[in-house]
Amino acid sequence: MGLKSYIAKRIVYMLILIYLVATFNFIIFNMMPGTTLQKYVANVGSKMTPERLEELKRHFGFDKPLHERYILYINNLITWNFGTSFESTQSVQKEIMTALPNTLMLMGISEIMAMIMGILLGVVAAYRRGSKLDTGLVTVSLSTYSIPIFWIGWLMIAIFAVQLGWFEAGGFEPQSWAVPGGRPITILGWMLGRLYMMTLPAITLFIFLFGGWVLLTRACVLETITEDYVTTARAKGLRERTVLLKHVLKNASLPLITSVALTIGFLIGGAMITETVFSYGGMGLLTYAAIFRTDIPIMAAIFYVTALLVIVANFAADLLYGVIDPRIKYG
Amino acid sequence: MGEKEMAAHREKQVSFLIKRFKGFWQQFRRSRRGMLGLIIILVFAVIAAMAPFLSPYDPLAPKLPGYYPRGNPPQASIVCVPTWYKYIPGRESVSENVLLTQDHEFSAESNFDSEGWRLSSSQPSSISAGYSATGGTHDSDGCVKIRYTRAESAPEKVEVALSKDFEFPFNDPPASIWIHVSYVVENSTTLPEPPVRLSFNIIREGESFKVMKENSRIITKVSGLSHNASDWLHDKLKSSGIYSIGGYHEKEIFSQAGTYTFQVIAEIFDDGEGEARDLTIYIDNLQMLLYGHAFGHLGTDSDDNAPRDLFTLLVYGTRISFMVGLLTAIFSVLIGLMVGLVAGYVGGASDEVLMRFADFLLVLPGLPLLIVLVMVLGSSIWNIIGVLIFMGWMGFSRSVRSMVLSLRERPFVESAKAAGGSTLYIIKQHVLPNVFALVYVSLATSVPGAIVSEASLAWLGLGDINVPSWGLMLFEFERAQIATSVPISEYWFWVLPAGIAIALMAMAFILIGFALDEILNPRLRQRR
Repeated sequence: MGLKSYIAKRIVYMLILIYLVATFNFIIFNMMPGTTLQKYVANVGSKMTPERLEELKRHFGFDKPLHERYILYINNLITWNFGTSFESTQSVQKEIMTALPNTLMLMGISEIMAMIMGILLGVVAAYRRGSKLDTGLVTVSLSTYSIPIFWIGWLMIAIFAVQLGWFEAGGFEPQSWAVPGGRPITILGWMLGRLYMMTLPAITLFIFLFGGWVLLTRACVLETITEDYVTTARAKGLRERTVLLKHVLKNASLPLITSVALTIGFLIGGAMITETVFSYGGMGLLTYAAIFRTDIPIMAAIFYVTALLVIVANFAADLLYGVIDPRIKYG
Repeated sequence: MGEKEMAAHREKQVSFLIKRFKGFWQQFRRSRRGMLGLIIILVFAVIAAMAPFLSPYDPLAPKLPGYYPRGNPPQASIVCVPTWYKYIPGRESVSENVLLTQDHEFSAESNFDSEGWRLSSSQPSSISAGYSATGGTHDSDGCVKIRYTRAESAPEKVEVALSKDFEFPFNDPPASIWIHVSYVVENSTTLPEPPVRLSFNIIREGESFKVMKENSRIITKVSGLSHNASDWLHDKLKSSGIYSIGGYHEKEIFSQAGTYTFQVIAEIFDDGEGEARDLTIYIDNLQMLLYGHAFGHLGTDSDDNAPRDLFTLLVYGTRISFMVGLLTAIFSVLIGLMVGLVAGYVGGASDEVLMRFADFLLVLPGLPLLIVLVMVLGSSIWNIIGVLIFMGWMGFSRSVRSMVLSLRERPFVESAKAAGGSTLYIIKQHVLPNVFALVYVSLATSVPGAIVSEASLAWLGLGDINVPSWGLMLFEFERAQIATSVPISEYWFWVLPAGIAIALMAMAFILIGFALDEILNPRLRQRR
């Protein structure tokens, strides 16, 4: 089977997968206890007239039978029309568009930093296996890997925001911006302000992500560094750097590529816990709020888009495999 | 094979296993990380097993033990600091709990005497009062009995005091005061009953504080000739913070350390009517609890119903974390193993279906899905474990599958097939042993994820609040909303131990997994 038919087959699989994901989401969202409507009714209490209830049901789209709602839901996902949020009554697109840049900035900075440093240090650790550096790096990575991230966030807030007063404890814009005329006029001022607010969550995320990259890279490199062709390369008298980069890292990079792809896929979902701890208004906080308010349109959009991105990223990674490793045949 | 041969064969197998384990242990012992992880886990296991011995309190709703008809009070005040804070300079005077009596039910006369209860009255000729071994709220237990018989002339008012001295050794006032009493008045004549008034006094060096407002507890409900259980009246008084007790705040009454006297005053008003007067007051379940600002080894949390002792939660939380971590790891690895074996060895349609299903779960956002599922199912600890298992097997099943795929093509499997081995036989004899290294490693490394996930769920408010877990400690802390307003020195004993415990336990399992991987994965084996 050639590459073309492989791609065609994969696309069909992807479509089936995304359809199943969407259906599964529809089922669990509708099983969640207490929809916005129910909560609203519970708040107003018995004063609600049946007419008003009907009107509300129509407003939220609960007047139609389940199968009609399902068809509408699938239709909306295909047409990329996610409707309006139950809670804020804004369009889902608008909600996401306000949150997404914040998340991309935060996640982008910390993911890229963690990725670069993690991979570099992972290679070094594997290369100097058993050394003090390796032991230290692995221990640090293992421990950051096992600490709950919200706990790291708390400590960050407690030490750097409350105790030392260097940073503000939450939000994505400094409090001084809320005052009329407090917003910076220059782009530089705006960037500095945003970076200032991003520092604590970004460091928290970095600590959390960094260990994973170190361990993954180290494991992948260790798998290949014992291969015979590495010994051969060394025996040929190649420079150690060439051996490491061309022979070891290139062969070790396949799992790393998948991991990078998945990271990109899950990027837009944001870091739910970190964003919640720091009240950083990104996609994670939006997801958190949507789940706890049973805001189905927002949840549906986020779950759907995340799944879609992850599927596509996975596919892209698989295609990249073939470019990097000519031994891989598709089919 | 004869029976003898079978036995010999089994013996050989066992000795082989022992030998193999010994070899493995030799290697494992050399891994410093693995040993560190093992030691940490053993320490946690001992803590988990010894939990009831390490802490006497109830981990979830600690109340003062004993019989209190108006409800048992909480064991401690909210947000206490650890008791060892008294060794910190500047905090020497921090107050701890002071309990008035060890035997509030008056169950033995010897206790009554040794605890220093005493009775006095303004007109001894008409009062006979003392300990009574019968007549308490429980049928067989004791109480204090005060009998008034009118002497030659009606005295208008007779005061009887039941007093006990106690030490309040702290210069800081208590956080709150809680008083409980049960009483009943028995009227032995047919005359309309005279009112009896009960009040509580706390006396410090001659200064007396009436902590029960005068005329607030005039007892006019009096039983007939003899009382029964339903005639008892029960009272409880509570002060804390802004709520004063009889117009006094704790800091006014207990402004300094010293010896105090607690008094129950019974005032009997005799209007002089009739020929004679004879009534008996019974007092039982008498207790005062002065809540300190310090409690336990790690203080208490802020649950207003019954503040929990954080040390107890920490100790009992070990059990829950073990349970969540191990159950999740075992079952998700089992499922992953089955799925991987079937998908890899059987292949075909079952491979497609199983692996697509794994893909399906892998592309959904993990934590949000976890939350939604727990919300749908309800957050009992079993549901949480179930959901964690449901979402934890995919990665492992993939690695098993790829391992099996390569094993399937190896010569020894082919020869087994050619020799007529059944699929089950081949899987059991040739595939499983080769996959087992993966199983051990994966078992160890899936525990931490489950432990941390459980804590994260609890922190988000989706933990099982009926289970004493480390997550619950962190959830209560989150609920108290003090992280951004109070300096960490005021609450570190609340949030640090739980987080460190989670991290330590998670890390211990990772360390072991890591060590196993180094030993069992031949490609990672270091050349020595």
